[in-house]
Amino acid sequence: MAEVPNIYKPFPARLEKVIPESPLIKTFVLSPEKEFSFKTGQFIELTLDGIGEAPFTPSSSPLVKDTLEVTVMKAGYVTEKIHQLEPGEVLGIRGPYGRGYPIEEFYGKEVLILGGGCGFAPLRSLLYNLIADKEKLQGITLCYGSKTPDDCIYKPYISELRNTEKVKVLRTVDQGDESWTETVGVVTVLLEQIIVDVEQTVVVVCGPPIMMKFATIRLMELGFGEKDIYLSLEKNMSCGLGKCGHCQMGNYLVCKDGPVFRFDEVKEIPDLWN
Amino acid sequence: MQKDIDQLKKLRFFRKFDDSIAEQIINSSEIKEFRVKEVIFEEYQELSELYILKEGRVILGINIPKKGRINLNTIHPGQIFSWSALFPPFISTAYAMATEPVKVLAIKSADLSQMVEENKSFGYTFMRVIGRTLSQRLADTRFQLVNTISM
Repeated sequence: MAEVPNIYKPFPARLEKVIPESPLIKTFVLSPEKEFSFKTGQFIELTLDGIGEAPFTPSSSPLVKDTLEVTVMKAGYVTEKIHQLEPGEVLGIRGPYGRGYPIEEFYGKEVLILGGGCGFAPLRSLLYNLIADKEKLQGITLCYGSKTPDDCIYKPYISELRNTEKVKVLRTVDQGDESWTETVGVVTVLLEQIIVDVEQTVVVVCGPPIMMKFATIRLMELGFGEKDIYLSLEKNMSCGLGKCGHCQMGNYLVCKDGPVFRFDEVKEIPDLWN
Repeated sequence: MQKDIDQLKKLRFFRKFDDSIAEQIINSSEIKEFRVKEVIFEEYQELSELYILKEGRVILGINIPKKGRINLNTIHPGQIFSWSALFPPFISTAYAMATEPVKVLAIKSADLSQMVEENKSFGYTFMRVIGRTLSQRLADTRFQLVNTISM
């Protein structure tokens, strides 16, 4: 009798490197046992034997197939255990799952990216993808907010972005200090500093639910269309296969139908921001 | 004068106003400069001028007992600050400090109030612009508050 493949079974990936990003956030560079492809915005389930698994959206380029980077904020039991891992240890991966960013729909437009905190992780993957395709775009503006200067992640990558043609980067922190020379305030204040043609711009928002809520409201006030705002939602994804129902949101299963949604698709859902 | 008017209308705040209004505003205003780290006004200070940032960057913040100054908001060129000068009791709700060499257009609030009273059409547009600014600051402050609560 032919063996039925186990769709929940992860495959091994070796931890090559750990990059501290902020006091609570680290990036883990993994070498999957087999070539791994994903579309930017899709997520994976990362497994620790005997501990558990949790969903993460890769922060690396989808164009790189031999390594995979996952940026993890220490926020609970599994993520705390992941933070304790050392290079050489082996984790499990399954996926990719869900619907990522429809990059082709961004062609010919300006892309405005609003990120908050660890929400920058999937956006970095998106940026790698967009920059590879930047000739097909009018430009890319990244507005990134974090709580404090210490909480800003991907500092070397930000410097790289600032030297990249067609890319503009604005950063803000909720609470500045003596060393901080950029903007102070929530991420929506950065929208005051940019001039874009709302008709020719798509917006991608990813961050904590509070940030996504306030950012979406402000974008609507500025005249952006509901169909031009893309949200990356995290809703307690568990199986990743649309079977367990943990991530149900209205008529959608976020793990299968998302995690990337256009605002017009989800705006009527009462607990959208919860 | 036309050069001054053209310069003024480059500031986002004045885009909606016509040349005669811009001229009146120029007559009621002066350019003030501040050095890096110079305090433009303190918290709870009586204000008599509305500032529009022309160059540089200004930080708004409040003093917290035992913590000192906490920076909360950055003002960029084209944005207004010291709006408290327009409304009784004319007392600032934050301090303002230059974080870069700063040039502001300082408009006498008494003259502005008189212009608003005498020219209702200007007054309506002006108050809409101020209202929108304050509404956005309120929304941002709520966002900041909710962010802090959820930390």
